[in-house]
Amino acid sequence: MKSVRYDQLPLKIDGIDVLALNFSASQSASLEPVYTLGRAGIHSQTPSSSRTYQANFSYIPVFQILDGSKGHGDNLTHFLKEIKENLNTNFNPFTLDIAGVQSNKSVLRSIQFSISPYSLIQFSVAFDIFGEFLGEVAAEYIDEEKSSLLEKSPNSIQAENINPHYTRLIASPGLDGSILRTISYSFNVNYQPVFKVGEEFPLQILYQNATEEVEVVETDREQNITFRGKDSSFDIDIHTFDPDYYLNIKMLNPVIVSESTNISAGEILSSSKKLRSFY
Amino acid sequence: MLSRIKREGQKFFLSDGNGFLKHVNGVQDISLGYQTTISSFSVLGAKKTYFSPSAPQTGTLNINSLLFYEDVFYNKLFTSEGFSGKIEYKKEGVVFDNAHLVSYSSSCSIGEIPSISMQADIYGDMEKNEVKETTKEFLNNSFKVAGYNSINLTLGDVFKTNRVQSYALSASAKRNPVYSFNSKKPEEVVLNNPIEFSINFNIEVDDYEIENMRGLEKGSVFKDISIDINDTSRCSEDLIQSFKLENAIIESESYSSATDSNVNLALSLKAYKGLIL
Repeated sequence: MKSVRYDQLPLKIDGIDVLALNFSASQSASLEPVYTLGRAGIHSQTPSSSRTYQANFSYIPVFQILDGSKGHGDNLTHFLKEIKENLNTNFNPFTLDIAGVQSNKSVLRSIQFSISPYSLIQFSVAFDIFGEFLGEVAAEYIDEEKSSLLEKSPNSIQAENINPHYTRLIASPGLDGSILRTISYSFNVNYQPVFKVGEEFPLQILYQNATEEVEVVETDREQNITFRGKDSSFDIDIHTFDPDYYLNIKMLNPVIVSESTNISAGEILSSSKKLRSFY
Repeated sequence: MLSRIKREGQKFFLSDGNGFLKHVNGVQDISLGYQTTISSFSVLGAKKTYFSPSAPQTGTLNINSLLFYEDVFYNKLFTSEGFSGKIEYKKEGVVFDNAHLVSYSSSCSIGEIPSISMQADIYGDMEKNEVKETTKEFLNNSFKVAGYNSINLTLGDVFKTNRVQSYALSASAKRNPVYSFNSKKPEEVVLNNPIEFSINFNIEVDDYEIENMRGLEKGSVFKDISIDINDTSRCSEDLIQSFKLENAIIESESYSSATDSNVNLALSLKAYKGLIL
């Protein structure tokens, strides 16, 4: 095989096909030079920390009903909900598999997406892989039947299929007519890999902390923002054609961290607010 | 049996602003259509191509008309309110709503009847409607005929001694539809001020003074323009349509002559007019 086309390289997370638009993986090692007395040049280069892979891809989410729960989106957003609600230190890493090359020590480092009317929603995700990412590339295709799962994607859309139950961040009667134009969402997770002398890769990866951010862009400016907790909320449902398959994002104790208002000649006023939650 | 639909088999209606549709007289040509924008994407591991709407569906309405009746379109340039209407042909009908005028033009040359044309973008619905309209009321009822000989043109004192052969006026109104998440239709259609006008005159020159090319920023090249189109059939100055533009700036002047024709000057001006609140 001299070349492999994109349509022969399906991506799976925990065995579930992902409608990925791209995929990139890279690995790096931190190597230090070793010098010795009596030698002018370098003695050797030796690793000073574990090799890590980074995998990045964008995909069209297909929502599922996970553990009998509706509103959890797909298995990655389901994982985020678990973190937010349980804050468990221990968790099961994901298994990433691209056409047979795989690792079962993949942890979700970040996920982000943006929603605006009539735009294709894609989740952009980054994984850290604390182990080998190996295997023979075996070309295969996603079954046509599985491809039709796009019906359960928020991207097989008209704008009305995205249905945000957006609560005003702070009650302000002057903002009733404001139009919500864009929502940008990101979730970043930090981990602590647990190493043991004699092993290159960590024995265990523990959850450390996480940050969730949402930026909303509206057509009017909100007044009297206090920039303190307990008076902000953000709760949105992103629907698909199937009413049982949707994603609910509810920030826990978010605080508005910034606000900006912009206007250019020939344009309409645009105001944005960024909310942040820590877990 | 196959048949055809001729001009007498079609009717065009516009809303009168109170929710009632009324006939529009004087329409020469109509085109009405819509467009859907679809983008495709492919995913890793799949041969199938997926499709997704990448922009809202919008309709377009184009109308050309001779000035036999009052012009019902010009004032719609300056409002951010949408209008609705209907086309009926045979037993069929298409209704549309939330249409917004995005361009308008009017022109006349010697030997012609003044004409207007408009284009509107439709941000609301465009749907089949088989219910026949029973109204016999017209939005523009009084029959008038404009001619090239019933137009009063003013551009300072220029046209007192220099003979106008033709005029062409065009205006464009930029609309900004603001979409939200819950609807296929925009929450609001904003009219971007100001509305830009281009006015062109063709003049047979007597004593017209061409401006200095570098004098664009001077006040002397700003002109007030007035185009009054009157009824010619009643032998009186019965106004059909009037265009008044202040502080139009001269954009170009082009002198041309030939051995077998008079000296001709093409004059082009630009003007801006704001929203009527």
